[in-house]
Amino acid sequence: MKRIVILMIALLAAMCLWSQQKQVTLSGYVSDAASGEKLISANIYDPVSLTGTVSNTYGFYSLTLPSGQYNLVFSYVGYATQSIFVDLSVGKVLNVNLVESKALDEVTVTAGALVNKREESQMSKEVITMEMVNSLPAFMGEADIIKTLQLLPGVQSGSEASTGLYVRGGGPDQNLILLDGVPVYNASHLFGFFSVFNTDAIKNVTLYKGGFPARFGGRLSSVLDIRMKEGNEKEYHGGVQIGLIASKFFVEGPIVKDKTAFSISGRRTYIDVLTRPLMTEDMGTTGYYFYDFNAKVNHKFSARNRLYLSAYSGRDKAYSQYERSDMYSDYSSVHSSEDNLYWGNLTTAARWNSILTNKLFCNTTLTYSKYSFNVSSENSTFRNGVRSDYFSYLYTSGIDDVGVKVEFDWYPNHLHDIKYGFAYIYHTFKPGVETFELDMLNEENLNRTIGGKETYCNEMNVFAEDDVVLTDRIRANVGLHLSGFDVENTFYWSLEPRLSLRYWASDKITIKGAYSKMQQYLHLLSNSSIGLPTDLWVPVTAKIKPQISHQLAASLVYTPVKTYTFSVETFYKKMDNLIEYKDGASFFGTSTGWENKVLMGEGRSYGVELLARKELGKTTGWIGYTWSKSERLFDEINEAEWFPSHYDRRHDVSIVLSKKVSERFDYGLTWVFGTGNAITLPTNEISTLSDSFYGGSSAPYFEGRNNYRMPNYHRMDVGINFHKVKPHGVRTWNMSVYNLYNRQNPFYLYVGSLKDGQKTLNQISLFPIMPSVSYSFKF
Amino acid sequence: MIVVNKYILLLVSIVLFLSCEKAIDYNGDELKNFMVLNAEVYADSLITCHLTRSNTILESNKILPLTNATVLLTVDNGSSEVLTSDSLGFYASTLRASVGSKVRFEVNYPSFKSLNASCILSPKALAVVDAMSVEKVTDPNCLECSYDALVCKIRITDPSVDNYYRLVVFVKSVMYSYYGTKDSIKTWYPQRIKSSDPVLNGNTVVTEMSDNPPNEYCVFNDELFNGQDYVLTFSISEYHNVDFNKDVQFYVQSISKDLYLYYKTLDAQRWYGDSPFSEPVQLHTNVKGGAGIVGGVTTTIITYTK
Repeated sequence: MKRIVILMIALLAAMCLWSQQKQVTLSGYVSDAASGEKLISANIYDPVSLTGTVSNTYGFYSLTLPSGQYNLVFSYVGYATQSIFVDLSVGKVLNVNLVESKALDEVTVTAGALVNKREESQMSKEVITMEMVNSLPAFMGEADIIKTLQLLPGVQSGSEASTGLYVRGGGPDQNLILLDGVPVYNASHLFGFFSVFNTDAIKNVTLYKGGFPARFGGRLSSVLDIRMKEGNEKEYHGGVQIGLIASKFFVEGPIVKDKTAFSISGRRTYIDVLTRPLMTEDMGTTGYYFYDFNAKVNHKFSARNRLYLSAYSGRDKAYSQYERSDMYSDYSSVHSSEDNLYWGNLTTAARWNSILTNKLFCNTTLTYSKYSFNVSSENSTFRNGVRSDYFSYLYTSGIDDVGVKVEFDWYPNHLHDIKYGFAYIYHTFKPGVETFELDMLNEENLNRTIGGKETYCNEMNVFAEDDVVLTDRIRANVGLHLSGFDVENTFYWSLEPRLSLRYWASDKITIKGAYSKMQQYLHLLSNSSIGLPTDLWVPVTAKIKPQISHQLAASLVYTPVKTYTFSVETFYKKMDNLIEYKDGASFFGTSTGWENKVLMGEGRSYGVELLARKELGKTTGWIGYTWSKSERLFDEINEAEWFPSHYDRRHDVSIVLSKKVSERFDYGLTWVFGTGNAITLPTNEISTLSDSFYGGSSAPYFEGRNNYRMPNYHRMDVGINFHKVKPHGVRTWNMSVYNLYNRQNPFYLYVGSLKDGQKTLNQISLFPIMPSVSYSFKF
Repeated sequence: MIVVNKYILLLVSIVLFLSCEKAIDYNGDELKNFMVLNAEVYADSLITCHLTRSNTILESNKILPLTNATVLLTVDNGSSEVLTSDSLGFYASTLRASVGSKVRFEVNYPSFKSLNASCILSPKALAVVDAMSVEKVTDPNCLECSYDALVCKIRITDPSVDNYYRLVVFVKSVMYSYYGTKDSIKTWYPQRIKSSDPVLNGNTVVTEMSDNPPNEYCVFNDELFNGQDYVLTFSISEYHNVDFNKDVQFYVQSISKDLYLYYKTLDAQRWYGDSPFSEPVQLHTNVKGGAGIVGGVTTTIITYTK
């Protein structure tokens, strides 16, 4: 007892001594020396006391230490570590520029991101770099962020070549995809084969699969935080890439050196242009294309204030035009038709970063985003130059958001990193509106509009979180997210506690645990897994309640040496108020009566994720394995018994390898394996009560929802890059092969018949072996 | 939405152009045949049922009737009878069930799992003709379609418990031979019923955007009029060769819940077919150990003579 008292007195004395010592704050930005781009999650620490911090999403850091002299270490993965002597007798601002290491020498480069993974309290978080994305094989020559994320444990694609994200048993609507803080509703082009994110415009991608920090909310399963490049403050750079189906460009540079910079990039497919010569006059003109355009400008008003303006615009369009002229003995006739189907996103953000004090950073973001889906058709016939027949059809739907978000980062001392703020979004949901116009000779004219009632909603949240060092070994992120949603005289709210804990078991072993509750106020009406543009977002209603999830996760991270990380994560997620379509229900873009076509139920998913990863050196990559189970329970489906969700995938393996052989040559290889998707397939044909106008006296019999497993999915892709330094830049030839060993993977199954009547189970596969080549030049 | 669907299917077709197809082995649980029992048990009528064997999805032969099975029929836990079959798998009894009776089937057949099913016969529906007229009506699913139809209004007095109904309409007509001569006397022919009445449309209002199954079996429940009088409005159209000067017969059937669900799911399954964009419809069954339906029907017949 006496010993304990002495120990407590000594501890108290030490704390008093520490508290009496003058505390001084060092703050500033960590940037790339060559471009001025802010570095996210760079490490800043004192190697003696092992006290440190990490730069935030905007590259800002603040570190409070007892006054004195320090050799502070600034490090970031892929950059040469800098040790800077700082005499901290008074508070200081120190902006640090780190130099990118060309050689990726393991001796000189500190594994910043790896250290973060071991040190930070956050778990279930994955960061991918654009270097990694670009070094991996590209589908049809287009490197893709989402497809790279799908290679991580716990993340699945929906179907062949799709950019859908299915995280830990969740649906594609349960991902909050943020582009510079602005939600993106439809993140894919053409059936989801390509995501809307042009890698040339992107700086950083962070995926949260669980243990969500309190600053995020509104979706159940994941947060994908994508940050666009800010623009090079020092000098002009740019590049072009010419691929088989698309070309793209980017340019960045200073408008006023070290003060104002811009970054713009664009991409367009040209399948329509290439196929146009193949079309005869009788066929008319038919085509499809998509484009993306990203732009960002930032201006430094002062050392403490900076403004960013960013915009993204993307559109897909399928079109058909046809005209035919005929001459008869007594009249001439001209018939023309024009059909268009187009959809796309527009996101804009104005962001103001302000350092209010050395310990307080403020980010204010104003956002506007729009997603629209339209179909138009116009047919007209002229006789002797006078319009005789006319028919037009227009379908429009979409969603508009206007929002504001204010966030504060407060670093009271080196033990706390407190974030708090609020956000508000005004949603305008535009359901499918159809307009017909019919004008025919000798017929009654018709002009009708169906649907059209817009729904206005207010979504808001307040949050606070503290990333706190509890002991030398224990660190926690504790937070609360309070959200509310106002829709048609109904108000929903939710108090969502968030907790992440990190325990350092040893220098090499870290144990983490997390709990988070999430509530989602939007539902996605979708008919397929292939990301059709007709998928429609609708808000909760008085009848259809918000989706809720509770997720528990635990992990163990083992870092035997700084270049390798081995981790095991396990999770359990319970979901309520999920919607599932009634048997047979379909949507195709109209929200009319949707509440009567869906059922509400619950879901659960659980699993284990294993990851072995190497992030440094000339050879990088990972091996990931996921064992998981995802099930659903609905009163009116499957006789109220649990059934596997469509994307329940028992085993999921990914092997990712990127090898830099020399400055002139590198290659990447991926191999994926996954248990087949669960689908509903009839097992028998049975006789029915023969009392039907349809005729027929038999019907297929289904044993249950998602009762059958498609064959396993596996595929290997390879990509090779040949670089050459030219007088004004570097040119790269990329050669990729998708599905190297030509595996016929299942996309759709059905029961068919052979010519002799023998019934068979048939499989449709989408993509055979697909080589592609692209040329790029960067200066 | 037809235009939207057309575009989507066009785009899907372009993608599928790249695709390839092959027959694969079935790798699910072992496919097994089982017995299928179907029976509509009518109040005060001789009870019959139909027994067949299911085909697995890879069998291409016709569905086989099962004869010589042991089919035990029990009425009200009292009278029972082992039924005999004809060559088509129809089993007939000498027993009748009255309103409120519970009817139970137990079936055994070598090499198949035994099955059983039961139903209770509901009380008769109270229904009368409220009005009849010939009118020009517009098809709710077709903007340009209008035609003459016999518009019928049937008043139903619903007891204040959950009730399930089926409506069947017959018109006394004549059958013409292929050569245009009358070779048949007047007989009752079932008619296709059209209606925008919410009760006959899954308790929802029909609009141009509706994509609900057509309710070809014309089953409905009393969700919108429980314990009240309700006038059901529907029409039978000229298109279906109704002679408006002929007699009309309305069968307002009070049916068991299982039979209601069976017809609803059968209607939906046939309507949606094998659309790749929606989940297949599971056919409702109350047959334990197999599939099929045993449902009770109590019919109120109203004959309208001009």
